[in-house]
Amino acid sequence: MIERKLADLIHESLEGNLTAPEQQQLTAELSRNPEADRYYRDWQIIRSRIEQTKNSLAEIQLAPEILKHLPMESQHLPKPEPIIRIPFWKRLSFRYSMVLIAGIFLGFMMFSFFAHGTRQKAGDESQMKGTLYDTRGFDQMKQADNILFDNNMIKGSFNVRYSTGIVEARITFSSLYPIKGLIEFDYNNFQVLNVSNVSVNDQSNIIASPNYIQINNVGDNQYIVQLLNKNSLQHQIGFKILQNDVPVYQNAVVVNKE
Amino acid sequence: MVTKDDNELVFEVQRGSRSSFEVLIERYQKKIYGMVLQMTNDSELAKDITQEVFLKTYTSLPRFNFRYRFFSWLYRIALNETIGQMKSRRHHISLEKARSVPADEPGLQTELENAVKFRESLRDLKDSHRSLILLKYYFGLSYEEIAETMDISVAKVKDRLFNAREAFRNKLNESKYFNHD
Repeated sequence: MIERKLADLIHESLEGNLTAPEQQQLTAELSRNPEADRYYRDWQIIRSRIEQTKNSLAEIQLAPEILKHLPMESQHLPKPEPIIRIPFWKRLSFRYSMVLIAGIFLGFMMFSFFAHGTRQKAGDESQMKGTLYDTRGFDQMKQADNILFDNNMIKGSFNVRYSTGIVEARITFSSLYPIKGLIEFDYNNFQVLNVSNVSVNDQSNIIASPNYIQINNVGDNQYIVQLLNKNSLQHQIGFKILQNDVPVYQNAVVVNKE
Repeated sequence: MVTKDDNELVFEVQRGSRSSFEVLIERYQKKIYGMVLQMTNDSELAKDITQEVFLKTYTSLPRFNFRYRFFSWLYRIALNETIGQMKSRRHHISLEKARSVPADEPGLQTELENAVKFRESLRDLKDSHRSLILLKYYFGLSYEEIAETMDISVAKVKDRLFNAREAFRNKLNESKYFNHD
């Protein structure tokens, strides 16, 4: 058995990858080393046999036979799992929240009862702030727009609905190569409540920032974005698709049009 | 006419295009058949396995990961399918069978015997060694492409290929394939 380094050099030579000085060096080594010389000649014979076998392969035509045996139904990507919406009152999170709220309320009542004498004067109502989360389903929300994009290689949809304080966007992408989807908004008007990958492969993801949400997509995927409209006023949300960081599509939707 | 790359064709097949799959078959059938034939020594069996490889490829295409190259994926299916079929069938032309073939021309008998010795030496290699020899020498894949196909590192490909070459040459020596006189 010859040394690994010498064997590698011989195979590089057989593949024609050596420079002239390297080849000369190898030739000199082969003349000194009969075992290496035999290895070299053996592999010349092996490679010649392989080439001969490759060339003797008859033209083969299997396509008609294979196509005949293909399943008749069209070959489609598996359909994404439908989004199962559990009524909010059946959700565990809702039930735990209710227990928590009841606990806090009870605690507050007890505190009020025992600390009645030391209670401070209530503040001005106009100074009070808070958010009422809208628990209505997507279907019950008002349609802002449903943008569809299709340029053969990229398909995208940006379905935006809103209620008074909440904006929900359902985004789907279907792209062979990596693309970016950008949802842009003013952080003075919106706050990201939730981003989720509904049906996403491991090459795709969604990233939230204060004033934009970036979707990195390859293949067929679905995403959901929920934004809080801080002042419940009319605002614009931008939507862009970029391929190799070059925009291939951009549009905008307006929410709270009333 | 614009030639579509493999991934574009796969994308179209995933959306129901059988004609795109036909293009993929046309592109790779000879190579896959050649590889399977080298492994099985049986042209009819090789045809059956090649058909099976493409049928499996078609039904698995919805799960194709675009991170990989199509041909690496196809070769991997072909290797697995062939190895599986060979284990179940143990089907090959024996040296004795080759010797029993009447040869009209002088030297043809020797040539036929040599061809069988070569195939049998290749067939008797460990699966991993045989796969490496086929991918490297029959398909001319680079170390990187072999690494992707076999899902191992380039360094491991080089190590294993060194061992595979040694094993193959030893098998040929044992069968007296080389005339060292």
